[in-house]
This record gives sequence, structure tokens and C-alpha cells, in this order.
Amino acid sequence: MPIYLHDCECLTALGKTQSTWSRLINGEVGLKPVPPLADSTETVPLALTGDLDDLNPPRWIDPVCELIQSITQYPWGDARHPIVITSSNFGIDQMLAAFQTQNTAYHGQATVTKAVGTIANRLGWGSNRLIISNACVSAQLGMIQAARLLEQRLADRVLVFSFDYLSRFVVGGFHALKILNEDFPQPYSERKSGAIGLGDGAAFAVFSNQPSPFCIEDAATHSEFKHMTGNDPSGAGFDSVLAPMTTIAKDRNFWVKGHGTGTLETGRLEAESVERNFPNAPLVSWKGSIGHTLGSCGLVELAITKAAFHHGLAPGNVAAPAPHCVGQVHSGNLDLNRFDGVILLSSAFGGAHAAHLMTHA
Amino acid sequence: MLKRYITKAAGAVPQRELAPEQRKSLRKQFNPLAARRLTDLPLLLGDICKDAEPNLDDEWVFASAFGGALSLERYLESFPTPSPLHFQNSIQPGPLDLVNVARGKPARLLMPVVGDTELFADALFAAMISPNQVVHTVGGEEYSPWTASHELGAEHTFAWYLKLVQSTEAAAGEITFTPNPSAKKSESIPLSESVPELINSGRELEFSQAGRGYFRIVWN
Repeated sequence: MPIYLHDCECLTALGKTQSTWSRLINGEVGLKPVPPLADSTETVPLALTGDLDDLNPPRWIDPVCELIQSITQYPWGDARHPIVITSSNFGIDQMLAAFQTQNTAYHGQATVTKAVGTIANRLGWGSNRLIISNACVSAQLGMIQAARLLEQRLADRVLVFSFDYLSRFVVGGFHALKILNEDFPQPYSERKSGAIGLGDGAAFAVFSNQPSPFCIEDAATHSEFKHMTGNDPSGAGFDSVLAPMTTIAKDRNFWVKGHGTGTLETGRLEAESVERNFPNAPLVSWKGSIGHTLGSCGLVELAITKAAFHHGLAPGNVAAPAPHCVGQVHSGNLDLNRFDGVILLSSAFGGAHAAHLMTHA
Repeated sequence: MLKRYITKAAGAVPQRELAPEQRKSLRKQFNPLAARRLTDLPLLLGDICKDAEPNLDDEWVFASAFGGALSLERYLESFPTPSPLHFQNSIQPGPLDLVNVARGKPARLLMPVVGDTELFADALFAAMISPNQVVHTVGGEEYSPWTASHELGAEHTFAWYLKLVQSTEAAAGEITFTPNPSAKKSESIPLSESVPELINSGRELEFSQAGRGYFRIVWN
């Protein structure tokens, strides 16, 4: 059963939705070189909204609460207005600070529920909340929960809210995995080695059964469980979420907003799967500019996508020059007037994949 | 009203941490390379889910407030040279990812739910509204010294498992969820750490969540 997208906004290093869309259209790169740890001599590409070491109070509280203020007309968290909160980080910056300083001042938002509780108290949310966290597909799983709540007629409107702010915890971790390095990400580009960039991101989306111009027609998920940080080398994991959508998309024109972090192997597998299943669909990623906003990327990029449909123009595959691993990667801005909709992809640790098919009336 | 049948259930009751002999025994269920990465929670999850027989179209719901807390603590200790292994294992839902990767059983979806006093109810709610025929609903925590001592982690190590299906075949019990927006939160919502005892005793239970509705668990 389709559900409909209503309000949807994001916050990235390039500003709120309109600003982020506009600066992506202009090809601006939000990523800047930043030392991954306080005493590092090298730098890694991060798209920050503030100072990485701004810890007390947590630098995410004010901006994420301010972002949500635009939709306070609904009694969020009551029986008919449930909230799904997603992230892969929550208050993990506070956990690291608490451990390193042994200062209890950081305890107030150091766990998932404490971080969410702080936001909920600030915004006066009710208790009808569900917290979902599955690494970098978290936000798209939140959208799936919203669809289930609406399909079961358990809600009038569902708020899905996600926030992921970078900290030394997550930057240090990806740097240790060596996929966050001195190189800037170039999603889907043919190059000798891969690299990702990370970005701050927060977003919300309101869904209901009441029609709007933006319809989520379909969703698909798959968990490979092949490797903790890698994918099945056949690309079968990506096919598992894309192939089921070919039927519903038949005889219509779609473009694909890929996950496209900048890793070589995963990027190639994703792009080749798009090529197999949607050979005529232009493929873009925006993580070469705003970075990978981790658990929130699905919702952040949904907000940018909605803005793109509003303007009839989507940012192309920013900051990632040709040649690309498949021919349908689209470098320039994309005229959306000839498209019926978009397929939105995310992937995560454990070989988790999520896809949504959104059409625009 | 939504109804799901319980076809398999298992519970590992809370203890501070696994005894060395128990840990050694549980590691034998995995190949040595995978076993080396498994802390107490994934070891317990692996044990209570060993008869799960998951299929490609199944869904997993994983309920944990703190997830891979031992990996998290080891990762925190690894600074200023962060450990890539402990980093990846500390990310939610690391403990169940580790088990499923070790067993190589793909699934339709893994929906990890995080919560506190209503975590079990939240997980059941997520499982009940899933459209998938089979939902492996699993939960647990692992004690980790530093986080527990600062009330940032679990005091005990435990795990539980319920295989919930839509067909009545081989049912050992059933769970019903009756939506009711007027429902109040009941005092009888079981904490996640009391679920192993609930499962092992076969005790029937009713409880409600504010604004959501009423849950009932019965055993055959």
C-alpha cells in the first residue's frame, strides 16, 4: 500500500534543505580536510556543521531541536502521531567524552535512550516512540516502520526523525578501517583506491495515508550477512532490493539516488546492479559533497530529493569525475521533468540494503 | 487484533557475565575465526538462536538497549589508536550481525529496536506489525564493567528468543496485540532481562502500552 510524504527537511554542512539542494546544484563540496583525532598530523574529509570537539552541551541538541520546530502543529508521540527515531550515532560523542574525561557531565546524553529522551523532553514529545538503529540503513528502516504503522491504521501521521553528528568516535573508527583517509570521495569514479567522506546530518519526514504529490510506492530490504563490512562479490545483495522494483517501475522513467559513498568495490557492485536492473536510469550520489551522513543518510537524501522534484532539477554525481564504473552515472544536474520517480538506496554494515521507490505526481 | 504464533522460544537468564567454561563451550558452535570476535552477548544469541532455521524471507527484530557493550568498551579503551575491529563490532546491531554473518544465513530484514523499560514491548510491537511471515524476535544485553558502573550499560548478561510466525503449525504459544489508542501503560510490562524467565516458566502475561494497545502472551 502506498504512503505519502508530506513535510520533509534536512540539515547538512551545506545548510538546510533549500540551501543544501542549491549548493549541490552549484557543485559545491561541503567536505573539508580535518584531522581525524586531536593529535593527528594527517587530515580526512569531513562535512561539519560545527566544531568536532564541541561536546558540552552536545553540539547536536540545539540544531536538531530547531530543525523539528517547523512541524510542531502535530501532537507528536500521542496515540495517532507516533515517532520513529533513527540514528547510528545518537549521543556516542558523549560516551567517548565521558570515558576519556571520567566527567559525569557527559552522562546525560551518552546512551541512545538518554539522547532521545533529552530531545523528546525538549520538544514535549509523547511516549509513542520507537527507536531504530541499523547502522547506515537506519533512516530507511524508520521509513519502513512508518509505512507499517500507516498500513495497520495505527497512525494518522508518522514522524520519522534522524540525526547523526560526527565525533572522534565515528571518525576515528572509519579512519582505523582505512576507508576514511586523506583522499576525498569520488563515488563511482574509476580510481586506484577508494575513500569516503563523513558528514553531519539530520532530517525529518512526515508520512500519512493522505495523498500528497510524493508517493512512496514500494520498499525493499535485504540483509546479506556475508561479511561485517563487505558485500557478496556477485552483487546479489544489491540485486535483492533492486530486482523486485523492476515490475512496479515497468514502462516508467526512474532515476536512482545511489548510496555511493566512494568505496571502490561496494560502489562498483551497487552501480553494476543498477545497470542490470535499471539500465536506462541515471545514477547519482551526493556523498562526494555532503559526505556520508551515516544512519541518517536515507532521510537527509530524501529531503534533498523532494527539493529536487520541487525544482525539477536534481544535483548530479557531485565531485566525482568520469570515467565512472558504469556508463549511466550522471555527472551534470539532472532535468527531472521526464522522470516519474526515483529509487533511493542505502547500504550498511552486515550487508544490509534498503530501497524505496518514490513517485512524484 | 494481530496474532502471531510462537513456534520456538529460548531464554538465557541474567548473570553478571559468562563463566570461562560456558564461554569456551559456546564458542564451539562457531568456526574458530568467527568465535574469536564474539563477546558474551553474541555467544548467547548464537546459542539461543541455534535452532532458528532462518529463511531468506524472514525478518529479525533485535532488541537491545546497549548492544555490543563489551566491544564498545574495548573500542573506547583503544584510543588514541582506535581499533577497527572493536569499532565495527560496537555499532548497533553488531552482536546479531556477528552471529548471522558467522552462520551465513541471509534474511529479508534486520530491524534493531533500542529502548529502556519498554524495550521488550517495543520489540514485540515491531514484530507484530511486520508483514513478514516469520519474525525472529531476539533480545539481550551484555555486562561491561565501565559502562555498567556508570549506569551507561547493562548490569547483567542475558538473551531471549521468540520465533513468531503467522501460521498455526507447531505453535507452542501465541501473542496477540489489540490496538487501542486509549490504552494506558501497565505496570506489568516485562523488562527485557525478565523475559528469559518468562519464557522458561511458560508464564502467561498481559500488559499494555500507552496509546498503542494490549498485548497477551499465552502458552499451549
